Amino acid sequence: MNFRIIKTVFKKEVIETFRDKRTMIIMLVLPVILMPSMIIGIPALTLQREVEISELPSKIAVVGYNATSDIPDIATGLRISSLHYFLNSSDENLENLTAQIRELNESEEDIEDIIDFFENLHFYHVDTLDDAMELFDDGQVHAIVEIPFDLLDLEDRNEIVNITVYFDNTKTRSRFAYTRVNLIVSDLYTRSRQQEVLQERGLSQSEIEYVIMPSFTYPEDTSTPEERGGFILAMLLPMILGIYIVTGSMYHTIDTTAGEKERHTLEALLVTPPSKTELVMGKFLSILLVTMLIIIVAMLSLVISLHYSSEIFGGIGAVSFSMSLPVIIFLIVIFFVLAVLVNAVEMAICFFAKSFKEAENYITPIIFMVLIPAIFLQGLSPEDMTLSMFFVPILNVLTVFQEVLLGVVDPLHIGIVIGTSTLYAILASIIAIRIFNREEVLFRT
Amino acid sequence: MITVRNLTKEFKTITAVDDVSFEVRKGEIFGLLGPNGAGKTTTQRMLSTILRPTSGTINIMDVDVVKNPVGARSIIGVITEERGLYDRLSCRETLWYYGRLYNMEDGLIGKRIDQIVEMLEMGDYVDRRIEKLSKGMKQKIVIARAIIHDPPVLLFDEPTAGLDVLAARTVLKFIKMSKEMKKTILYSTHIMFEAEDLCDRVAFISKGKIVVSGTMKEAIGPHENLEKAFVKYVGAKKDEFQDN
Ligand SMILES: Nc1ncnc2c1ncn2[C@@H]1O[C@H](COP(=O)(O)OP(=O)(O)OP(=O)(O)O)[C@@H](O)[C@H]1O
Ligand SMILES: [Mg+2]
Repeated sequence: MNFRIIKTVFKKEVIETFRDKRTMIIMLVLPVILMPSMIIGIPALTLQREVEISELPSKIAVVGYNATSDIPDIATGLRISSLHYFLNSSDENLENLTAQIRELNESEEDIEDIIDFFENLHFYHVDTLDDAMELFDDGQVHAIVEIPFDLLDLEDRNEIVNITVYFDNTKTRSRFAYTRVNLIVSDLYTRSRQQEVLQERGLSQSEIEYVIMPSFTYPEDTSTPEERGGFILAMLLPMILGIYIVTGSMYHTIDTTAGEKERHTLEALLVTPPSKTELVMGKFLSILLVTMLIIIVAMLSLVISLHYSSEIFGGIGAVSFSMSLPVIIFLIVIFFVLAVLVNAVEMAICFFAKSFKEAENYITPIIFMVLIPAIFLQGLSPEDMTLSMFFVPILNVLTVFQEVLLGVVDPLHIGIVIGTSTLYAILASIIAIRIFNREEVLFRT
Repeated sequence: MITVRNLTKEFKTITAVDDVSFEVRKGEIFGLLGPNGAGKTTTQRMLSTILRPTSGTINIMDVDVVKNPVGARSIIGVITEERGLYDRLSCRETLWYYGRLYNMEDGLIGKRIDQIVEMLEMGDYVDRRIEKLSKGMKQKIVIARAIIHDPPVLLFDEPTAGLDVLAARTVLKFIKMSKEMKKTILYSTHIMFEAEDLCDRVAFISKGKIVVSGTMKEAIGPHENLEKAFVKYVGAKKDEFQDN
């Protein structure tokens, strides 16, 4: 093995690829445009849209019980008023409601919120469910509430009141309408009804409160913002960087293998003294360099994107993306391991191809070798990962990658992955050299 | 200098070179003359170690080419039938690349490049990217690349193919110059007046077999010139061969 030869081949391949616009476009433009738009752009747009929709009013058709517009006194709580508001969302009713809410001694801010909430609910009384459905299908209302005709009788007899809400779970505005209606039906209405019944039974206000709300559930998410950030990264990164590994150096790989045949430079190379192994090594190292440069540019672009997305999502406070330098370096090392394997396979395949086009056709399916494991891993947490997963080529690298993003550093797993991947890569390289050595492959016609 | 004995190359369906023997003496130009598909390139490829013979032996300056291909490569300079260049490199970068592949010292490569650039008059474009050069300029780079390591034996496969008259003359001039420098040259072509002008001895090859070989005088024999002799010996066979 002559290292000067390997270096010579390596250097020449690198110079050539840096003078090739296609590789440079993939290397620079894609990470700089694609990464930020996937990390910041898409979530920001989705978020923006959700916020916009949440500010739009929900139109709701009410079928069944037809209330009169007289609003009972505050003693019956918000029950009737909220239900009445269902049925008669007139300005007058809104004023009445507001007056009642004010009597509850809420803070000005809360009152604003509550009024906002009701203002965004527009109710329309419709005679039959069929009519309502028609409006619903036309998109004129976003949800339908079906209240029994004999609501007051049922209440008088202390029977169960069944209220049905129709909505379309696949439509954002309909989901919002459901959430709002549900708040009134199951929260305001139910609670004020309970209050009413208990009051009739002669319980005092403090007793009633005790019965209605014996306990509260306080949800407390124990995951830190960093962990949630890591979870999101673990969903996105293996896929994005995996695709970069496969496609990033693709043109260069083809150029330096099948390209030598197509450009008719192969024979002149083969009459020089270096062994095929030396030529393959030099070429392979240049491919690796290109891949790693792309990964590093992509990582940089990622870190910058995350920095800005932290600012964008900072207001929500739920997610924090922080990647420490050791983690970044570790991820690059892990990706190096993957790059060695994937690039060796790609090279072996491309040596076999007789033209650029053929090589491109062969190489494209390799994307799935990375995509399928990446999709398989999405949402998987470290506890779900079995030991055998750390032996499967490509899957194992992505698994360890995800594990680290989720905050688990397991030296055994890392060791297995690096060990097995190196083995697979050596195997693939040997195959590449074998293929390059066969004269039928070099002169396929 | 070059001794080829019973050389045969079989591909899947055809025998491209069939029991070919010839000898090229030191300092002479030997013409391997044949029509399209005769087996010239296949023979050249076996001599230049790109293909392994099915059977037979090749000796170049006492190196067994089949057994020691790496040893043979450093003593031969090859112009292959396919003459691709790396378009994105300059002429000088290309020559540096091959110089290093031939394992030459850096200092020597630099000197040798200057020498070749002067000899082939390439000074005007030696630092330009190859993609911007004309066919004639590119052909000079192909020659320069073949002789960067100053080999004693030259294997040239139709080096004037696709060139205009002037560019072709430059190539022929170079070959004559190489003869003056005591190089041993195996020259394949199907252009007879070129061969007549250059070669000391020739072999007609047709359908993988040598049909005539000897000095230029012997090859021409009673015929008016080499082309007439070639048509006489090879012409009949060529018609059957076109089916291939
Ligand atoms: N790699 C290969 N596989 C199969 N057949 C081949 C291969 N290379 C050459 N041949 C066949 O061998 C025969 C000799 O081809 P070769 O290229 O040696 O002829 P040539 O004398 O150089 O012709 P030309 O003047 O067209 O260059 C032809 O029939 C060709 O089709
Ligand atoms: Mg030929």
